[in-house]
Amino acid sequence: MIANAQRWTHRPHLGLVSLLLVALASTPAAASLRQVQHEIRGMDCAPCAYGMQKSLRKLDGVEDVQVSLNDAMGTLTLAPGNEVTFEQIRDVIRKGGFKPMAATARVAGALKRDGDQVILTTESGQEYRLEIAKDARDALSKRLQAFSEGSRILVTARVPAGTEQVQHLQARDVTGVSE
Amino acid sequence: MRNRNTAMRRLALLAGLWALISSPAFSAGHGPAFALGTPTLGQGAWSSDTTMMNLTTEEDEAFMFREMLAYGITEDLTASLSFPLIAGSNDLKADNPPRTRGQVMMGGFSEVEGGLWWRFHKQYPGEGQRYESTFYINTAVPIDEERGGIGVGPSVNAALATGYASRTWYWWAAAGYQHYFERGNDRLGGLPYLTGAIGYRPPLFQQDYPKPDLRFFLETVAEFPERDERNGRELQDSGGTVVLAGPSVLGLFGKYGAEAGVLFPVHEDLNGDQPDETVRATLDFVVWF
Repeated sequence: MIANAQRWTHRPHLGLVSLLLVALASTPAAASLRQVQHEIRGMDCAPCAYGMQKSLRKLDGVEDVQVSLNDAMGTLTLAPGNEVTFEQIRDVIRKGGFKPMAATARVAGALKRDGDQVILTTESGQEYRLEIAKDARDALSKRLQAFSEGSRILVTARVPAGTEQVQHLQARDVTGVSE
Repeated sequence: MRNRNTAMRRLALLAGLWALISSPAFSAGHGPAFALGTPTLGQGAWSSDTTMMNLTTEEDEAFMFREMLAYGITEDLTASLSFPLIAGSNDLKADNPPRTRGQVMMGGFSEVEGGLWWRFHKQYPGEGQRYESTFYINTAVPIDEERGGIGVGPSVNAALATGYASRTWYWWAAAGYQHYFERGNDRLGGLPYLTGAIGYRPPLFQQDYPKPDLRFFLETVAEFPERDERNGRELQDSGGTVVLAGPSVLGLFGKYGAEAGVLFPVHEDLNGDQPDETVRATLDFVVWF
């Protein structure tokens, strides 16, 4: 995650102006994480699933959580405007006594380009660099080129296991967001 | 046989009574009824485990009603407190119950026990699987002043358990020792013990959450109580070896669980003149908060 907030703390006036400009320019009600399917290792029993479901539901902005023991998966549906991060979800899983693995997520945000890099900036200020999966490279590259800087997009992506801070998303699909 | 039947009838009656008066309560979790497991409790989570236990010897019967509360300080460190449910008389115990912790996760007869469980090792090799090891340290304070005419002091219990859980198979092995301190010039003999359990969940009960979950265990508990001391002298009619084995079943539904089990002696070698234990049974009701 690349946080701009730290830079702003040193230039408060500039930060305030920037915030206002961002607030005016952005489209309302665009969520960050829309849905996250997270693989969770170690759950073997109904109370494990119950505890996980209950803890994940406590995250502010989570609308629904379904846990599958047989698939070792927790599926979170998130409300528009939420500020939930992958790190928060993984922290809850760890504190529940289990191990967070890879996830598949739908993440909405604004497209930004930095040279060859494509960056997804969410409303809460998180930035994810998009890596395009090999099998989808041609199609996705073309589709991304169709979006201009600042376009709101919805990315379906794989988040690998083991990363402390999620900075990259392995994009599998990209669509435009109309709201 | 008469003792066995009586014990089972009494247990069934008490189960019904308990079900009427009890409130939902957390347990040894996904684990065995008698043997030591490696329970998992998330950070900030509470659990309550309400247990009835019956021990029958050739001469007497002992009952224990206990509550165990546990709190997850972190995902790897749990604090526990277990105590007799009926204040004052603590339980319907015999005058001199067998020297045992009963359900090993909890304290023994007439003892209030507090402890820490430290899960110092964990591995997650695949979906729904985990290897883990837990170190237990507990201190217990007796409610009664004496048992079988011997002064009872506070005690310290330490144990190590390691195990494997999956969606189908389970096993745990553990070893522990409970040391009693002196009271007056008396001292209860220490209690070294070993426990083991293997479990299986048949395909019929491998449906996904939130459908009910049922698993079966075969458990064994071996206890080697040391000789008691009265006025500084070892008592000949105390201590020995008891090895028990038997089945248990654990049913889980969401945050609720119920577990029942029975152990029968497979080897008993008690010192001097002591009645043999004939059956040990437990019924456990559980809730995760």
